[in-house]
Amino acid sequence: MTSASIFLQIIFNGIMLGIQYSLVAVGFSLFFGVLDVINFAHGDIFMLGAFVSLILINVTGMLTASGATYVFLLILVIILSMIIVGGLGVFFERIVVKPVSKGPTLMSLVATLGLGIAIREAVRLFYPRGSETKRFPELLVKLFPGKEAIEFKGIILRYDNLLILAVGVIVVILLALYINKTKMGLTIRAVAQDAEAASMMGVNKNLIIDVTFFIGSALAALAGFMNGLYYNSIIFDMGAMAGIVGFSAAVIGGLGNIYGAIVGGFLFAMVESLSAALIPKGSEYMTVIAFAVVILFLIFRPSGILGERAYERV
Amino acid sequence: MKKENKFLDCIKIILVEVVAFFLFLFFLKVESIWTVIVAILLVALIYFLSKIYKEKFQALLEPFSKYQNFAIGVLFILLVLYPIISPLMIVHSTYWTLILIQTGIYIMIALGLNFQLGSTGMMNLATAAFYGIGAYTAGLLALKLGWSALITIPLAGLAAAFAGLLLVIPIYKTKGHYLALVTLAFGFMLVLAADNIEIIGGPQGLKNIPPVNIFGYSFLTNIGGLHFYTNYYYLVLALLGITILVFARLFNSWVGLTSAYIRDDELAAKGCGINTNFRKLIVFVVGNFFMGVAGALYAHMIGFISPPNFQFAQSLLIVAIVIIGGMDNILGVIIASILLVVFPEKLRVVTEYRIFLYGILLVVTLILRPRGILPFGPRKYDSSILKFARKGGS
Repeated sequence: MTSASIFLQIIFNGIMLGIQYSLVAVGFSLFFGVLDVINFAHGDIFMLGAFVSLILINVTGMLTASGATYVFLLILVIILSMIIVGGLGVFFERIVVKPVSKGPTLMSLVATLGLGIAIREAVRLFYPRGSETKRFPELLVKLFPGKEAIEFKGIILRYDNLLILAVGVIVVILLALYINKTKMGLTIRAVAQDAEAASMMGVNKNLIIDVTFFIGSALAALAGFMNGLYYNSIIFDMGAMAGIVGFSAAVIGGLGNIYGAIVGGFLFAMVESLSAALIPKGSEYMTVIAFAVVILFLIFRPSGILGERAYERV
Repeated sequence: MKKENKFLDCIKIILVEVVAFFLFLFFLKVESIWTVIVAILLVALIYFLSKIYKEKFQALLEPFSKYQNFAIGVLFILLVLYPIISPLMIVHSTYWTLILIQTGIYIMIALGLNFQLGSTGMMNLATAAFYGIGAYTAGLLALKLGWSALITIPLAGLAAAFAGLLLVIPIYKTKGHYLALVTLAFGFMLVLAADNIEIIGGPQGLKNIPPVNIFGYSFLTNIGGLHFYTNYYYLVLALLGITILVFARLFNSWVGLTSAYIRDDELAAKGCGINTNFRKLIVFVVGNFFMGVAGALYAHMIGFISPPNFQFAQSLLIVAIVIIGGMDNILGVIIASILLVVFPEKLRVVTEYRIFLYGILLVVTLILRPRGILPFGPRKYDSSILKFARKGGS
């Protein structure tokens, strides 16, 4: 491997992680926009996404199928897991997040924290042998027998990683179009900017909140599915770290700004994968370095990269 | 007539506190899931009765606010008597003494955070890390240099306070969720670093930290047949008393008042000539000092510390204590600490489902009382201050 190809490999790994982090971070930003809450249960929604898609893979029996049926079932699994987890997200929003969001912001933080603990423990207790690491199957290898991965300019690309890349890019583009070009997207932006004024203009605020939680949770579920595919293993407490990283990414980008969340997610992932590769013993310290970069960023951009600058002066 | 009334009130206070104290003891000592169920039902019953018979309930609570010092004194005496009373009820009870000591330590940390988060509105998600700095400082000083706990405990507090100074620039520049993220990142960095630095034990942590030894009196001696935890119980009780006193005085001083101003409207506070940034820094440092002291106590008592003791989950527990306690309310913080530290231990009976129920309990508590158990109300000043204010105004 030449040094250039090593560098390319690092960048590619960073993009893989970046897509996952961004999809989680977008949820944080969306929820903060419409409801002014930090939803700390979001990491566990991400974990639910991984488990639900694993269950669906087993239930549909897609691993025994082949050819066009296989592709169809794969797409079905991805979409169905997003819909199921999105629905669960709306359910949790109705019973927990919205009732507590009327109180002070910090109350909702603790309530969603408790919700996250409950979800995590529920999976541990009620999923068969839930406290063990579960194997997540490799999916696309089955379609291309004989070859594990393709090589491109000296870097090794697994098929599953290409799937992550493709799905990630498609979803991000669709999300941007949805937020910017549709009427629903417009109303979401309106509620995020000023919920009271928006409801005076006839916007059904509760509906928008439901829609937002559906989208955010579905995206987190997709990220969970990707994470399972990337590491080929899932565990009930994988959501704790993902939630923290997602929150960090959303804050670096500027809370409430969706593009900011995406930029923040990629930044965090790039710093992690670069420091894991370039610094000796880097893989142990990579999260330390990423958090140090977070602090530095916030010193120079106190309200995030794309956040609104608050001008307050006496 | 008036004197008799006071006497009656005092009797009332003593009666209520003694009954509550013994109920609490029974709750601790009886190892059965039924105690938890009965406790929950009892609390619910009292809650609904207080809603129905509002006036009678007020009348019962009135003497407490009237003779506050007396009520606190009685409670203090009961707590001092605890190690003597508890073995009389059930012999092997050291476990619950240990849990009570832990609760005391958590109350200290939570009061430190309460000063930052509740009084001043500064989110600190690195409490466990500052607590850990205290524990590691005390442990290293005692292990490597053989210093007495009399020196290591205050030094541990100072170390945690100075570690807070590292964040001076972010404190000056960021606020709200952004400051919360900075402290979160800081806490993570410290724990990961402690996990990887070999000199301070790495993932194995520090072992065999010597116990507290004051002027030749080792805290491992059993006084009068009581377990040696009793020593630590009294030490923590004394330090906790001092901590509560300090924070109660701070709350009632101009420091507390300006802090509340910064929390409610930082811009307006600036407009009134308050150096908000400097104030926030001081609050941050003072709060961290007490977390460090609590960490040192823990290190000396348990004798073994390692990075997992100081992870983010611990910080979140302490944040939950302050928020459920009602923010800026010392009594609320104490009640919430008991709820969130002692109660999970009781839930150990249900082993598997413990953490699950704990999460649900958190959610239900906040849905039922969205502003915390004892929400912060308007400040109360006695007539002397009001008179002074009127004079100043005219």
